[in-house]
Amino acid sequence: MIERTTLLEIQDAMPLFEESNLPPCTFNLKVMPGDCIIIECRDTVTSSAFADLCSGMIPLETGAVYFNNLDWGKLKEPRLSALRGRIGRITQKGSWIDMYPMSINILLPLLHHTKLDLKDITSEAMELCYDFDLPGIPIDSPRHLSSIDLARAACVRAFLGQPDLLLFEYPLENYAAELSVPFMTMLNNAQNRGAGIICFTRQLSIWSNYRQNVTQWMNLQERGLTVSGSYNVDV
Amino acid sequence: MLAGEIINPTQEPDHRLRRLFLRVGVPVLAVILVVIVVVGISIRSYNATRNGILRLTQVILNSEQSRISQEVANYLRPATSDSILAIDMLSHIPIEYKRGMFYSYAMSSLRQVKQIQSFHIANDNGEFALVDRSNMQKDRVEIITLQPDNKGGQFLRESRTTQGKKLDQGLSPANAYDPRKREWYKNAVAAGELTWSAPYVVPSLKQLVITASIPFTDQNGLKNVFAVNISLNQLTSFLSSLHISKNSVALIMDRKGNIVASRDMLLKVEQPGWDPADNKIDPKVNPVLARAYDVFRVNGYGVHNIKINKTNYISIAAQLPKSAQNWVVMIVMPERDFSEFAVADGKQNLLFSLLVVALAAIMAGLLVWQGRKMEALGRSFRFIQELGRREVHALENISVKPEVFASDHEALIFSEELSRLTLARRVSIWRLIHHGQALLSEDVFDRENGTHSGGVEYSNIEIPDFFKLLDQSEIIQIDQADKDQRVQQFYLLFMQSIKSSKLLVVPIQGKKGVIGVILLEDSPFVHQTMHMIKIFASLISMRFEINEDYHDEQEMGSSTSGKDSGEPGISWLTQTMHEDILKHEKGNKDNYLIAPHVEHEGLKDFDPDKPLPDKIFPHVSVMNLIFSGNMDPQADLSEQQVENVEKLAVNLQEIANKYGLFYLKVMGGHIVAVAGCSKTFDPTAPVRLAHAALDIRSACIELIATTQSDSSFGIGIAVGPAMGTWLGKDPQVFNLWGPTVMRASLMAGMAREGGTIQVTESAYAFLRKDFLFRPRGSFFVPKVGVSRTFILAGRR
Amino acid sequence: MINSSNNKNLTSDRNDKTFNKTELNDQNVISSTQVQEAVKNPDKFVELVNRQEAELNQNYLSWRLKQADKASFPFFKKMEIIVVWSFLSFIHFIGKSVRSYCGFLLDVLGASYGVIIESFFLYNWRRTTRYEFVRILGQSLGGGLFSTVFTASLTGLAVVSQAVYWLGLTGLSKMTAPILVTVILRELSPIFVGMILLGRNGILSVAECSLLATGGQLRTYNSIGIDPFVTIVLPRAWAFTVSSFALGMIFGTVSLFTGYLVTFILGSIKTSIWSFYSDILFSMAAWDYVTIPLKFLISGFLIGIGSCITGMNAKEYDDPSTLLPKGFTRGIMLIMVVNVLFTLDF
Repeated sequence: MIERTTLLEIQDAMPLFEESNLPPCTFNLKVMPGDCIIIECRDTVTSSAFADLCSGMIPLETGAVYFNNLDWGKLKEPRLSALRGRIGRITQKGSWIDMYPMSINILLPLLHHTKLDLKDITSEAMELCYDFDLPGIPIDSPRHLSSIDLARAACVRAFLGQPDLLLFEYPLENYAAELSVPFMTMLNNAQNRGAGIICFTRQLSIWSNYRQNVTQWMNLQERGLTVSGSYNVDV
Repeated sequence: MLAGEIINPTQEPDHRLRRLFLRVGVPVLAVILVVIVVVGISIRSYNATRNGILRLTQVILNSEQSRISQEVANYLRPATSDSILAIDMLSHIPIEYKRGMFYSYAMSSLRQVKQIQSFHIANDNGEFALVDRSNMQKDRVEIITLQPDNKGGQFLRESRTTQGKKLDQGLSPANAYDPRKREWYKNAVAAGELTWSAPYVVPSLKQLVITASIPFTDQNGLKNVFAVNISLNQLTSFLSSLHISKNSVALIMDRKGNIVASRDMLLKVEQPGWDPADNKIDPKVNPVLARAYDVFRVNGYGVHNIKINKTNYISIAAQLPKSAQNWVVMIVMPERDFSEFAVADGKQNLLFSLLVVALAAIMAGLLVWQGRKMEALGRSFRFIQELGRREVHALENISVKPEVFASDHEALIFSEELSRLTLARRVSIWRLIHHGQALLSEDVFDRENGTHSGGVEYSNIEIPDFFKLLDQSEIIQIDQADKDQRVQQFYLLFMQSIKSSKLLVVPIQGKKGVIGVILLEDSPFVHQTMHMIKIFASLISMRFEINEDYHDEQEMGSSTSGKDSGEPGISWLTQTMHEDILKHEKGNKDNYLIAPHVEHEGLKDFDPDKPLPDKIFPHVSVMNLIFSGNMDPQADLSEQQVENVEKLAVNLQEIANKYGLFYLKVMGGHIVAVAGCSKTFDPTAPVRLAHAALDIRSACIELIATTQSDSSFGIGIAVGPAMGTWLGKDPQVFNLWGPTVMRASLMAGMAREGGTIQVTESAYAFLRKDFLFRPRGSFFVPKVGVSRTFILAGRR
Repeated sequence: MINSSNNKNLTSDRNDKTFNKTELNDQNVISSTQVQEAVKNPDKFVELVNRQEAELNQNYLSWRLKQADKASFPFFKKMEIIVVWSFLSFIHFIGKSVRSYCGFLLDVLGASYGVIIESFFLYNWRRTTRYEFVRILGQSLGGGLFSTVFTASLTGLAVVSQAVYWLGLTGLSKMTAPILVTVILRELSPIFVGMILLGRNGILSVAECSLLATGGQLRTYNSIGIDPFVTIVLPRAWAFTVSSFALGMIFGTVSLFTGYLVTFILGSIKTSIWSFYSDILFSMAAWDYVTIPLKFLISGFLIGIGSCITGMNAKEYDDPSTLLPKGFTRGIMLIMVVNVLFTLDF
């Protein structure tokens, strides 16, 4: 069922320096369905900016970024937003809206982008919550949740609705012990389903368990995006 | 891809509203535009016509006005130019002929000019003569002469015909009548020129009369006054006879606002107490005339337009010659008298226009209809094109993989392509096994999840109605599977897990009749893709037929020993199992610590009193079954349920004994079975466990089918090392734990749909010779990394 | 800093007319040793540069004054230069605030247009938008109800009773109804309701939206394909509109009722409550039935949009102590603008 067409393609994209925190160089990246790309990046701001570049939120000076064969730069609302709805993302900050209960926060993308029955969405979220060791969908305000539960909920939200592309910014960095098992399980499922995965990390050793499934190891620093060869266990 | 997206970003926006606007809005707008244009043109042409008519009317009215002045002047001429002629004659002839001349002039005038009522003549000496039209008879004239005497004079009254023939004569007292004291005489003498009196009524004649008196001096140098009485009745009738328009009113007024003559004057004159000197227009009775007179006073002579109570009127004020006292002829008429024609014309135009509009509307409607039709046509054309593309694609995909027809190769592509073609939610391919006594799912493809599963087996006993349906070997479409008697059992067993309602049953025809069936659930395009479904059915039939020999061999083998038992699989198992064990024993007989048969007979050697020889078991086979779906707190907690479960437990015990399982445990919703709990490897243990798992599965399915509950379960099998020992003291419990036990439970947890049996890669290695498997894909297993898992599809 | 001063240097070299200035600059050029020191101690370096810039400004002034000597009326010219110089900061302040308010008004107009246009697209009314709409509506209606009833009662007590009393004294009690319509319904209620809405919910909106903006949630919203304009601004604007109208109606009814009650108890009015209300209704011109609701609707709409925009435009360095007063004054300005515009036109 997996069609081998490029999922995400960054073609000689040079972001506008003023509008982004990315180094001023051209980026090239190709993500096929089922690919898992681990990008080592020490700078959290740069990684956020690169994730934004993948979601078409950064104006480009040259080049183009295609997602599902659609050029982000040429897409207009409401298709633009709808296409972003096909990306599951874990951000570093500002993930939760305090004025909504956690349940709405988690279901927000599906509630917004789909007409699926609330019951179906909830049951899907419920299963994901179980998978990530949450006893159910949290209902409290995000303020009242512990940071580990927030991390779990972030995973639930990212995987909810079977997105085509998963953009994770340091998903496991602080909670590797608790999260890595369910996270990698779900990651593997997503990969099998044909989703593309881009994951930023500071600590390559977290991924030693998953290295068979990683398609590419990359490095993002001042020089841009570079291929860092295969993962070395000793790192 | 997200299901149920509100906006599909990969598709160009549909612009339904825009298209609707183009298709419906534009024609409607066009019709509205036509209406506006037509109405505008109508109004414009009406106005143009009206203005033209009004201009024309003014021209006509102007000429009419001069005609009227002329007529009135003519009417009064006897008093003006004619009288001047007479006076001139009277003043120049000798006195003795004067009277005769006066008489003959008066007589001929009365004969010729109808409006003249009488002639008077008087002089300074008080002589007075009068020629009057008789009020009694027509064609009679009375000549009255004042004959002075001491008593105040007498009137000599002579009656004659107009031809001059004398009829009779009489005297009547004059009562000291002195013409010199009369107004007409005094005014004329004072003015020294033609003077007019105000209209007055002659009661005896019931005539409204006006007197024109002209002074002259005769041959003797005496002052004379010649007066003509002109009846205005004739003028009134003349005014009445003026038919300028239907509702026109004409009247003559003097400069003081008094009506001199009007249409209804005669009627008024006859009323008693009528004073001609105070005969003004009453604004209450006749506001239009009053306004017309006011307009005249402000704007002078000419044609004027006035508007009263939203009605337009045209008023004409025409000057009469000066000789006629500066009277004014007023004519007032409503404008519509003239423009009525224009209105009628406009109405007709509008009617025609409405016809045009109606035609335009019909055209627009046709356009809209045509547009809709074209669009529908375009849609279906695109659909057919897309369908054709997909069909070609599907066939190409199959043609590049000829190995799908090989028995030892998975043929997942059939179900995938079928689901892509028909958009069915789930496509499953089933094979009839055990001589048509059971259905085995070769492949079940769930489009939404993109997952394959299979290996589910249903026997004729479980779903007899569905088997009867298959016997008909026809393509059957069922819209509501949960209500349809024929597939209700099947619905509960299989379809309920995804809550599908539509079912298409496509039997796969082989050489000897139906050999399998394709089931499509919730496909919206069944009719359009029926031919392709049939093609697929024959392709799958080819695959089945090619593999038929293989299966035949298997069935032949099993039927030799266990035909009477009705369960060919089990007898075959015991046979193979023993063969395996014998084979094994031949090679490694010495290595057995616990002989296989020991395990077969139960836990005899696992007496708690005896110390266990070993607490680490390197090759344990563990089966874990997890029931799920019973989380609803409102679930039916009846005793019947408990009884059913009790029956199930007995069933399970029998199965465990039959296959000589090491132990069988029930904990809540989990069932754990273990085989091969020994120091050395027992190759039959996984096989026995797998057979037991298949039996347990059918037992559980039977339970679910009878209770009609919505619970489902999954079974996981893992083979590998485990730790185990007796735990606790009095009672002691034997427990196994370790990675294999955990992985079995993980396998069970990951296989939640309708009794799927999922095995680990290591278990697959042991079982693949004896069972059919389908790869489920690779999974991340903690601490192990990514590993592949397999679905047990059935016995070989 | 080094760059900029060097640049100045270069440009002045090229320009012969400003030779004097070049001289001044030459004295102030940062030497290479200073730069080396600056690398070691950046704080000191910044201080140095600031001081030099200040000197430069002063020198520039004195240079201009010197230049003025050559003019035809040196004294007036100098006075002019000094006056302009000293007023510069004041002018700057005025210009800045005027620009900021004008910019805000234009922002509000643009956003209003956007909200109205986007509201026509059905796909913008998704579950999330509807959820926010219902939430804010409940918040503003439920939260504002008590305040409105309370304020309305006080207003009724004060205005209605006074009006009825004094008009009764002057024998103009027939004028009561028209005056009440003018004073309470047309003028006071839109302002009071606007204030209540702004104080209770507008400020809350400013706070919430500013938290979203500074916390990065708006960016997250965008990154998961949810347009904050459609999911936050649009529903809030309409919720405020609806609740402003509802609260306005409640305000009018309640204030008139309390006023009636008071005067009835005092005895200066003898008619029944229904005839009192019907007097009020009859004394409203037909146009009032349009303008009064419009006032409520428009001011509610603008408060919603204004507070969301103020909050969302918050920068990272903004904090509630600057934002909330800003939001409040802007909201008040919007209420006043609406009321004044309506009074002018109608």
